[in-house]
Amino acid sequence: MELEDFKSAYQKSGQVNKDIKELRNLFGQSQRNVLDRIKGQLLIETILWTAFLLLFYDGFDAAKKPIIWTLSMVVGILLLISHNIFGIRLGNRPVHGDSLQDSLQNYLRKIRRFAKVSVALRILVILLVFVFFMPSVKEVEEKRMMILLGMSGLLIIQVFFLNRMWKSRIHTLRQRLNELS
Amino acid sequence: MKKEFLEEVYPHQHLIHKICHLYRDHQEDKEDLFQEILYQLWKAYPSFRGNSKITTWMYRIGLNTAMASFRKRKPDISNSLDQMGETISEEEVGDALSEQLKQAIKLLNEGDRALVALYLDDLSYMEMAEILGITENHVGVKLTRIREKLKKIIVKV
Repeated sequence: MELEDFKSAYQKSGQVNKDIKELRNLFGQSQRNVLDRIKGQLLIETILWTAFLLLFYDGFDAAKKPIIWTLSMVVGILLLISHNIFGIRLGNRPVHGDSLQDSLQNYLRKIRRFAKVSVALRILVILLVFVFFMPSVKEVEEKRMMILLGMSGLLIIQVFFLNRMWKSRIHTLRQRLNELS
Repeated sequence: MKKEFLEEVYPHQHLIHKICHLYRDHQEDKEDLFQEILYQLWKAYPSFRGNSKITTWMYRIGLNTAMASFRKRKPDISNSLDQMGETISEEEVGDALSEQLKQAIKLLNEGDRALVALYLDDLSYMEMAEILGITENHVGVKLTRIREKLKKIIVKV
């Protein structure tokens, strides 16, 4: 069978249509799903980072340190959260051009830029944590030190997995772009 | 505007179903992609000025969404190969050949699948070139290559 012979069979397929009411419901559902996904991701990220800040502020006597360090930490984490918001928006908008090739090219460019900034920002926060607490290492009791190391470890693991995820996504997009050319 | 959008999209929804079948293997994933395409169409609707046919526009957004989204599940290639090798009765030969071709198309890469979808829905070379962002000549060259690939896949199985 040739590809041409398959045309009429293909054109008749996909006819199991939803009625307009069902389509309307599905449309409403699709909007809710996207919003729920955004809200969920944002809420988790914001709670985790706020907890992170509070723990360090309270548990490690941040109030006694120069205000500039506390501000740097807050700004770093705010940057991270706003960058995440941008990432969620980017992930929910796959169309970035008039043709498929243009769109995939633009999307790839944006994702590559986003991935670099995302990893860089996390590294910046890890560095800030260390610079912030290193001078008082001797004063900090062992238990608190373990928490500090544990949380920094978690951040490093996060950077590792984040980097791996972005690499794989960039590879997939590049592959699909090559398939079109 | 919502009502107007749904009325425009409604008569051509089979096009979204076809994209979902070509790009996803599991029913749940197909439903998810259907919703995602519908949502992306809605977001792009204000910029649709009617310069091209609504089906061309829908294909552009739909294929873009299918190819640019990152699926959680890996494509089920073994399933396609198994279905191609199934024993069939003589009466079913016609249907089976068409089914075999359908499964073979699913084994093509995602870029080739996009072109096949447009070709099978009888879009002109100009429309295909416009949607994919390649030249009309390149469309012809790619279609010839795809035909060869499909023959090889079917002969192999």
